[in-house]
Amino acid sequence: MSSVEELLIKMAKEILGDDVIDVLSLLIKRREEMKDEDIANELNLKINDVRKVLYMLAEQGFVISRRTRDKDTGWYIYFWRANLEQINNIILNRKRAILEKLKLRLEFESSNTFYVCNNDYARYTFDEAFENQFKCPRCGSPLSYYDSEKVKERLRERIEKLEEEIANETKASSN
Amino acid sequence: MESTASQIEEIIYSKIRQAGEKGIKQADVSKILGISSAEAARNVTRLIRKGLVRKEATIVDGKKVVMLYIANNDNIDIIANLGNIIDIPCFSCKLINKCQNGSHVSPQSCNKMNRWLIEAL
Repeated sequence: MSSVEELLIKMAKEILGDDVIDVLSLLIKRREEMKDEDIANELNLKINDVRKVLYMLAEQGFVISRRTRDKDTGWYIYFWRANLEQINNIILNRKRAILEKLKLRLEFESSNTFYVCNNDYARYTFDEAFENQFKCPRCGSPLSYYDSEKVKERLRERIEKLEEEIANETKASSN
Repeated sequence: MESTASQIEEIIYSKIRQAGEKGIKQADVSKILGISSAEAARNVTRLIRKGLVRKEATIVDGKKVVMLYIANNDNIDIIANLGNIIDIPCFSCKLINKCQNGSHVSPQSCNKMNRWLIEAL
């Protein structure tokens, strides 16, 4: 198995779990398009389960499909294959999505003051703490001011690193 | 009945696959299918864009010939690396596409992200 194939399987396993690996591995092994019913027959699975897995894989970009119409029945037939040649874009898209989440979190951390319960470590914004008279709504302990500077610093570091990586890798993959 | 673009694409793809490692001349594709070379080229370009086919220009008897082969994925360079994202919980989160401000799942209220941020401090 090539490094690209291994990486695609590793990512799919991390993101979607072990259930999708059989279908993806078969598509990679075959190196050609396959119909969902052929995949189901080959793996001895129900066609509905195979379709569910294929849609999950397609949502993350790990597989792609081509659609044609059956001449006899008029129904659509889908041919599926592993999206190996787009591995760099799959990773880059994931990175862009993660970057967006980290930026949203940093914005939230920067625009709020936090209070923490020293008993159960739950964190509340100023508004939430004020509403509860600066007492933990769960255990009633007094809330104390929480300095989120270290959290913000960690987020800033990761955002900066990710932005740099995305810029470099986008440039390299378009060459 | 006239063939649709996707049917032509499909036939071209199957011809290239049948040719195997030897490949097939792009000029032969239009002859076999009885379509114009421009139409064959358009369909081949679509197949290349989809990553199903690759083309290679070679010189045969002093003439430039465009050969078509089934795309092989062994030569893909992995440029993007996972090193800097693999420990961030969003990497393995199935809900990443639904996670946004004001949504049921959001980066502000995500427990996995809370844990990740606090753990490293």
